[in-house]
Amino acid sequence: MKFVMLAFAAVLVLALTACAPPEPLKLGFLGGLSGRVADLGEAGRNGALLAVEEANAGGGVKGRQVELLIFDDEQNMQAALKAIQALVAAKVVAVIAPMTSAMGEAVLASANRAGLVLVSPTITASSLAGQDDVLFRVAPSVNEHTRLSAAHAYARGIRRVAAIYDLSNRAYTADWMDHFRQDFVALGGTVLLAATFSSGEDGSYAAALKKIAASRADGLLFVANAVDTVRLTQLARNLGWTQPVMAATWAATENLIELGGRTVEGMVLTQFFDRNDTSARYLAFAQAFRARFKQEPGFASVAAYDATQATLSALRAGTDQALRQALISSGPFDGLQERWRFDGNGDAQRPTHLTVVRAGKFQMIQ
Amino acid sequence: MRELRLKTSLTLLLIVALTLTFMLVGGAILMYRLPRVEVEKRAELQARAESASRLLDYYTSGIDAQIKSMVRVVSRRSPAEQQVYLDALVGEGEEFDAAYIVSSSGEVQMIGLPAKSRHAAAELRGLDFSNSPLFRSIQAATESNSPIAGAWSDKYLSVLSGKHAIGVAWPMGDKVLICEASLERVLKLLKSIPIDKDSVVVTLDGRGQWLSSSLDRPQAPFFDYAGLPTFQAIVAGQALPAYEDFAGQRLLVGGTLSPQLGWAIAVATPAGMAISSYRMTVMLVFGGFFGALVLSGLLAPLWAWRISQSLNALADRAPA
Repeated sequence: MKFVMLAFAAVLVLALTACAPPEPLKLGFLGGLSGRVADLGEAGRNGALLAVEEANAGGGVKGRQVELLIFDDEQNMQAALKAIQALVAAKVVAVIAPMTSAMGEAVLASANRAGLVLVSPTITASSLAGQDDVLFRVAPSVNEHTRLSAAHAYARGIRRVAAIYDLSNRAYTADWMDHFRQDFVALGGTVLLAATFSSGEDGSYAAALKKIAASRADGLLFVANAVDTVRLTQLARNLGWTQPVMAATWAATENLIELGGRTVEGMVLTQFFDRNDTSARYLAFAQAFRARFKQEPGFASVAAYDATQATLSALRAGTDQALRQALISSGPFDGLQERWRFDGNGDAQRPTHLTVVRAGKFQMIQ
Repeated sequence: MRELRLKTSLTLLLIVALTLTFMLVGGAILMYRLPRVEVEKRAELQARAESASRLLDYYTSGIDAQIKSMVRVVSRRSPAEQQVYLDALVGEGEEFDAAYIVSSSGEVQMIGLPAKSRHAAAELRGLDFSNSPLFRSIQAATESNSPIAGAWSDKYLSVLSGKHAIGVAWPMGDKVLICEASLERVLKLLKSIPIDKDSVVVTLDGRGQWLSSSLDRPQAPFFDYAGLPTFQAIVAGQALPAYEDFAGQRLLVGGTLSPQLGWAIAVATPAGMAISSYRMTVMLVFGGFFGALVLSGLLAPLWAWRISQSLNALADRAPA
């Protein structure tokens, strides 16, 4: 009798366990969701969220639903490190992050120690490229952007550039400046002066512009986020400067146009993606994004969507391999606009595009 | 079938009768009472959400009244006087971080800033707000000859502070007055709403973006809630779903839309045993049931022994 009861209990426990849904697969997202870089962080979060929701609607990963744990790094090193610790404790399989190179430098050592794979949609600093670590970069390196930007500036007759860059994301901005200078000088141009400012410090915009005031440049370059780029451009215009303005990819968010309006008309920026894409796949994504978030997708949304899709695809493909190996070997991935893959160091080679702000929109420059 | 002794039969009869009675009565109580407990809790959450919404409305109406009278006075003044009024409106930043007078084409013509950030005024003059949703909503209202009224924005990134802010705009002749307030300050208001420790007040903007939570360490901040059925029902003004499943938890939710700001205010608490009155009902019924079971387990043999003793005595005296 006792044996029958025990057997019955064992069958009941097994049956209940079999009926319970499997634990969700945890994926992290870490980006600046407050403060001056929130436009980039929110656009990235929305791209990642859409990819996760689509994956879950399609049955998840190997029958497990995917849960996206979202953290704000506040563009602050301590907050970013704290978030990485929390994500490790939550046992996430990977993190779609970081969104800025400064945060990449801040968390990489910690993620390496924990063996936590970071798939960054937007970081481009060359100091973070070509290394055998846990960081995967979806966006092309900074030199791709600067080469395009420098060539376009030179082609439109600009020979003397004065630049201002932000110290709060130095890993990216100083890198951008160095590569731009190298590329522009190689073409025959000159970077007369590169002044710095600190994002969020009101006085530093005017101080930086004052430094380059006497440079007699025929082109201005701002390497900063969207909010600061708008502030610098407006101040330059208020000082009566009429030179054409170029800006870094970091500023190419939808907020640049919303905040800047006509102030940023004519500004030339590089982009990660083709905004004129009319492929069915991209149009379906853009429509789904607008329906879900009531806003246009930006470069960070597209890059985060691709980063998340690639991570989920590697998780589906990776059987016995670690995720890191699966990310390298399971490409090429079907990106929104092209098929792409990571090289052995986790860096992606993808096309870069040039845009100009015209009539309140980013227009592609052919 | 094995025959039972009279005492055993009577013991079992008494226990089964009592247990069955308690099961039936307890089950009926639970079936009747538990859904009502949840209905009552839902109504309580709804009342809390509406009270939060009223608080926001009270705040926004106060601001609107202040700006409306300001617009009336300022529109007839010279530019120099307008600047004085703008600076007075902003003061030291108690209510607003900035006030802008914007031309009909969207160009910032005048800026009022607190003394500590007044140096930024020269930098911001000339900025173009024509792509700002707030400016556009006033323009659209003016073009359609709608009655003069203010418009409130969703959260946006402030070009002045670089932080999330909300704004209110009023038409001022052919110009627009835009006042910008820190989002943090507005959301602090909602912290003052009394709420029990198991519940949470979550505020979302009109697009479903998380704005604030009454918890010190909020669950899922910065999440985009636009896809949640509760948010969609609140925005559409429809009846809320009975439950909301979120992050592996089943929740009871009350919610409403703040009419001025267009924000969704939801008050949620875990459903079922997490509600104290629900837990109490279940505990009372089960406590009563098990108490009766234990008591009957002790008393029934005694009682059965007493009954069986008389019956056995009777049986013993009966002729064979």
